[in-house]
Amino acid sequence: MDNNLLEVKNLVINYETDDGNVHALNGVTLSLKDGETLGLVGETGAGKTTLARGIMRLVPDPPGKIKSGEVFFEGRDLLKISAQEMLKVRGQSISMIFQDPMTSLNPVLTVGFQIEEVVRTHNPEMKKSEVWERACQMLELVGISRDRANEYPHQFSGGMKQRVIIAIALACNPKLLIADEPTTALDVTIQAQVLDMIRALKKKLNTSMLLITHDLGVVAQTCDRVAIMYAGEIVEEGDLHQIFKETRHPYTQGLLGSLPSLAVDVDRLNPIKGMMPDPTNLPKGCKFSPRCQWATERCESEHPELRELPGGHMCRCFMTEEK
Amino acid sequence: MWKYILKRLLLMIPILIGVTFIVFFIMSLTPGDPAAVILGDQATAEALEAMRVELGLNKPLVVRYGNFLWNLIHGDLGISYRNRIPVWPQIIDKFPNTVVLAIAGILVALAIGIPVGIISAKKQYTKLDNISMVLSLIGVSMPNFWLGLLLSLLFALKLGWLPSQGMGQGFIPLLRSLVLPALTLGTGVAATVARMTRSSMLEVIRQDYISTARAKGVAEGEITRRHMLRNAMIPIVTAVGLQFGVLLGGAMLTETIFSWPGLGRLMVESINSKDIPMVLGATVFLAMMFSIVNLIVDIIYAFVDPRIKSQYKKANASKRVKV
Amino acid sequence: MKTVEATSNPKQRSLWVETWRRLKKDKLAIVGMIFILLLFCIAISTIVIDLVTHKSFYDAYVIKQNLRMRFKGPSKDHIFGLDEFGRDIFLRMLWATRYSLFMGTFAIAIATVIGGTLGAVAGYYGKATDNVIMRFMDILLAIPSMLLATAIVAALGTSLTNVLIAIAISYIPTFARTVRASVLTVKDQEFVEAARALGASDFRIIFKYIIPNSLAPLIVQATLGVAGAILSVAGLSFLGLGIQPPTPEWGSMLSNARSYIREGWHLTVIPGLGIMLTILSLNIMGDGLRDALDPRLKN
Repeated sequence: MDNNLLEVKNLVINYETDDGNVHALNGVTLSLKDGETLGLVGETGAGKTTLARGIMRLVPDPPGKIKSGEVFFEGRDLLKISAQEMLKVRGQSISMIFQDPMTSLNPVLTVGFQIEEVVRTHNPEMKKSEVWERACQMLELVGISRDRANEYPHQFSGGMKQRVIIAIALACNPKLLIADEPTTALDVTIQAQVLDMIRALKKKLNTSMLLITHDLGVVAQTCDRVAIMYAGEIVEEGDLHQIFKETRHPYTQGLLGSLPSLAVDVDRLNPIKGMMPDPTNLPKGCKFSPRCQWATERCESEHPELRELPGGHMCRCFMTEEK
Repeated sequence: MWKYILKRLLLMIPILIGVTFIVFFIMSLTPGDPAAVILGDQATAEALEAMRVELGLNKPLVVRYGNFLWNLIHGDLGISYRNRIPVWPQIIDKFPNTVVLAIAGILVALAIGIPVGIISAKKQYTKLDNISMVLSLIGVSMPNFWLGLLLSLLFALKLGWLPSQGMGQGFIPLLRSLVLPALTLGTGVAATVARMTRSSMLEVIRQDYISTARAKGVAEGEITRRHMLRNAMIPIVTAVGLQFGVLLGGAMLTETIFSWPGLGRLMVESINSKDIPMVLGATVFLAMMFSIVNLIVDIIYAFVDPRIKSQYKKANASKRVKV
Repeated sequence: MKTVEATSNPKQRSLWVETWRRLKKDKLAIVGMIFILLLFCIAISTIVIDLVTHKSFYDAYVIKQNLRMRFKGPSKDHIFGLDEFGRDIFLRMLWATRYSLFMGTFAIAIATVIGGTLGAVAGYYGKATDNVIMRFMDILLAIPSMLLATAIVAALGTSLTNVLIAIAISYIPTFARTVRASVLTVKDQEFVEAARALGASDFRIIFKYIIPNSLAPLIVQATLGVAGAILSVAGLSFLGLGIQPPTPEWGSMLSNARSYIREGWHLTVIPGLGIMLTILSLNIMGDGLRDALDPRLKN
């Protein structure tokens, strides 16, 4: 697996708070190839944002602590490089866009300036006029007229703000873009536009992407591979066909089963019974076992490993052993 | 922009008129006979009556107020009962000394309060944060007249380093005589500013746009300066304006302790000698100064926060086309 | 047919229990509260002693002058020393407690009731009522509070009542604003609409639903307000505008110390320390209450 752009190995991250130790990530392992789009799916509280921040080393400390694990990017373990080195990585090799476009831009600085900032930070020798030109180009790339570069964020709509944020993220042509629920805060019609734009830019600039979302529909449209996250672990990983058509993990099955179908008329929806476990008090054994209809005694006492099935399909469930 | 300033100016006028009325009304409730105050115990009944007519005391309240307002607009605040000199020139003579003291006090407050607040916020939860917050709490709770006496006791009496009375003539003596009163006046405000700066900074530090800036790989120092401070200072600016009012009120006590020849001390002397026109004039004057300072603060606030600025740029409204 | 009442926000009772639980954890706030309780006990004890002894104790020990012993520093018999008239400072400090404490508390109580009602009415009825009331508040706020209190006392004379009135008036606008802001938030919530739909009168809605849910910021503001009021009482007395001698009051004790600043540090330090510790305790309590009522604000 050496052509992996990003390899996360057994990442463990806790939040040490007054109300207890929150086990946000419990040994996350995943990988992403060059040019690939990996979707990271999970409910709220599964640890998706923590994972994204962990990769960027942006976990707020206090109270967050990276306890163990490795994050290999282009062969280097990001957790071991110096803080100075990490500054060079952020914005230039790996970029991240956050969930809520309404609050992700600094209200007192113009959008042009905020794009310029990332260009200037990583290209200190560039001339001022060149930096400005690049900023304007990026604006046009996301479909905003360059005349608006001197305007302030509050003068733009939600969808346009998100586009500015994307412009900032891609301005230095990063190899990896981490997008944390980029369309969740937008209306459905704008969602489609923004996703299309992300897809087009990705192709054009040959950027790999880690797309975090809870929306399986978005995953189906945009991603090459999918990883399903539950209670701070990856429970299933595979390509689109494997995840949607050859689902192996009960949680993934539950997720797919709970989607309302346009074709079939039902009286009730099918949620997964129960709730995600309390991260300060995780169950022993398989973390999904309290909610799983096929749980056995072994599931409740022993913790399953992430096993590889044929075709690069990964699953964390004892049931896959029976074959 | 000018529309904003004009609007605020126009709003200020009715408030100022209201202020003059309230203060006038309060002072009119003073029991006792001003004529007797001026002429002394030995005056005859006819002389007292004549004086009352001269002072216009026989007319109804509204008429007297009207006269007062009319005279006020023409810069005539009446004649002091105590020394029979017009009030306005006396105010103008003493006010600059109070301004010097107030400015010195604000400078002390900002010079100490803002850095302490910023450092406390950035190093939240550390010993440094706890110590500064405890000190700020003590600073806020300390009566400024007590502080004045203590400083006087220590630095003037026991150590003899600094003068404790009066305002020095000449540059160096002025500065030396300014130290203790400015510290007295400024310490309480410094503590308040430190607390406010800390909470404003903490508010800003949590914002998404700070995460965006970090994800761009911008160095921490620049993030503090450009992203955090510019946003955190906005509410501080307004708050400092309000503190100026506290300062004007506190000046009475400080000027009394240090025999500083300012308007505050004049007020106290006038109150003790029942010099109504002086008290009336000085109060109205100070209230007006306070309102003007608040107006200036509002204008600065509009300059600093682009969201306010653009509310008044109607020209752009039609150009904006939202997605 | 049973009349059904829209329940006032069911979160209310557990809010107080939750708040108390959080407050208990804040040791500093508890220390502050204990100190204030101690002061209340002291104040009440002195009043009781005065009543029981028909002020004879007071006359004999608190205001009786003993000029041969003036300015004596702290000693075994007089732990805080003697003042410029030879009076025991410790006893005077105890007897002075009631003025600062009760004056401050009553002034704020008055300001809370008047200001709170005005704010509630302004916020609830909105439009013209709101405008008129708040413009009036703006005018009061345009005068720095110390200045306003001083002017009122200067005009009306230096009695206890007048000091109370002066300080209360200077705090009314702050409370009006606080309550108005809360009311504006609460009145748009659904349980209020429900109550209205069931036919509750305006008066009932304001007093039974809106005010209880606006109490939290008001309590914090009131606690901090008492601190400020005590400071104002002391400040006014310091200027000679408050409590008159020979009645002991912390501010006037400080003011007298000014003339005799060379005679002994105990004259200056002790009364000021008393004021400071009282205000500090109230501030700590106020901060603790604010954190306990809404931990999200705690950062």
